[in-house]
Amino acid sequence: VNDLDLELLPPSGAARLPYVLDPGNPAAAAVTGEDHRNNVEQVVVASPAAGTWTARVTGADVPVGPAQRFSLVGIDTHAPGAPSPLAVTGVTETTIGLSWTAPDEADARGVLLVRGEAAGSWTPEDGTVYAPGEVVADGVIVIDTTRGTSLTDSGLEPATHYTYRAFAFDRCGNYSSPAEASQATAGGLSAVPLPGAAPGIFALHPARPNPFNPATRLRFDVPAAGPVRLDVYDTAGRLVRSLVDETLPPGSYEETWDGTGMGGEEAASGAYIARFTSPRGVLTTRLVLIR
Amino acid sequence: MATPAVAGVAALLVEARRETIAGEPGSGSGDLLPSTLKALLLGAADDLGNPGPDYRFGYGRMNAKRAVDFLQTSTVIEDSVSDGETIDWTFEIPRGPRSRTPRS
Repeated sequence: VNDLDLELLPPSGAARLPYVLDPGNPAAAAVTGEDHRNNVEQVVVASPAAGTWTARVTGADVPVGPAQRFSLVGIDTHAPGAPSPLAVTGVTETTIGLSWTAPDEADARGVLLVRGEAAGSWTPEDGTVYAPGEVVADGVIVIDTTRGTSLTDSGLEPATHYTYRAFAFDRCGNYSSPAEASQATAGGLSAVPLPGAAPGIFALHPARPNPFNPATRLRFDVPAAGPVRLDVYDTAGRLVRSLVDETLPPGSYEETWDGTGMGGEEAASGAYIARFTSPRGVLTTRLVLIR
Repeated sequence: MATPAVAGVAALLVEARRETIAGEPGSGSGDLLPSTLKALLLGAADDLGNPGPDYRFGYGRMNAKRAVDFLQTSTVIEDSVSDGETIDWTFEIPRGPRSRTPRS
């Protein structure tokens, strides 16, 4: 019996009114106007102007009183802007640093960051909350959901290509379009120390196995941080392959030579020399490849 | 057979609401007014037929997941209004890009 009216007042301009239907022409599409017939009124604003809006409920005719209870539900389906650009701020063998633009919406809650080969086509579902570490699609993992604007992704494989996508999301679970970045970790000629205490002297251990096919392992020790090289030469003194060429922290290292040259070509059967260059001198060991 | 399905989803909304607010001091049962449940169900429906409500489909086809999403993310006001009275509620629409990519 009681008639309430709903209208949305934009920052400027005319009030937005609810849908109304014409019972005399039931096939006609709904138009907007004052509704004095229904007990549900819905106002839809497709692309709201920025600024302060007012939702107004009026007791237009409340003969059964003293008052009529009502519910007003405000639904935000409006996505924030993308946190682009997503930029790479630093790269090591096992980490990639990323930064992005803070979300532009006042009700923004943070940024969802995902990583993976297929991340370039994945989008989150509105209204869904994702947890760090969650695998959301084949090969796509959630790195974090964060209010910050930068992050360092760690525990990565050296010399590997990674794709990232960042989505801003708001209080109501609306996700933005993606910001994207791709980056390869450093490495290729990179060495990771074996667990254990730092060794006492620079050393190159005999290759194992030796003779070998298809691959052999070369272990060397670095007692103090310094530039080191590990190269494989043939018996004529020609460089076949560089395995390590960098400044390493103290530790024992193991590199594998797979019997291939710089271009990936298979080396011939025969003897080779592994040459370890340290700040304290040069050490060599002999390798025999049997095809 | 639409009525039992809608009643079932309304019960799920009540249950989701109770789980959401469980343990909050002074929250009571937390149960929402029937008019709030109705507004959530209509607002979350997938529109069918003519844009907006129409005589054939009403507000559209009920979408239970969206209704629960809206319950947990929407602003809900329960109040009362008397004859000739006006109640205002203000909210901010922030500035910013409005674009979004279509879902495939």
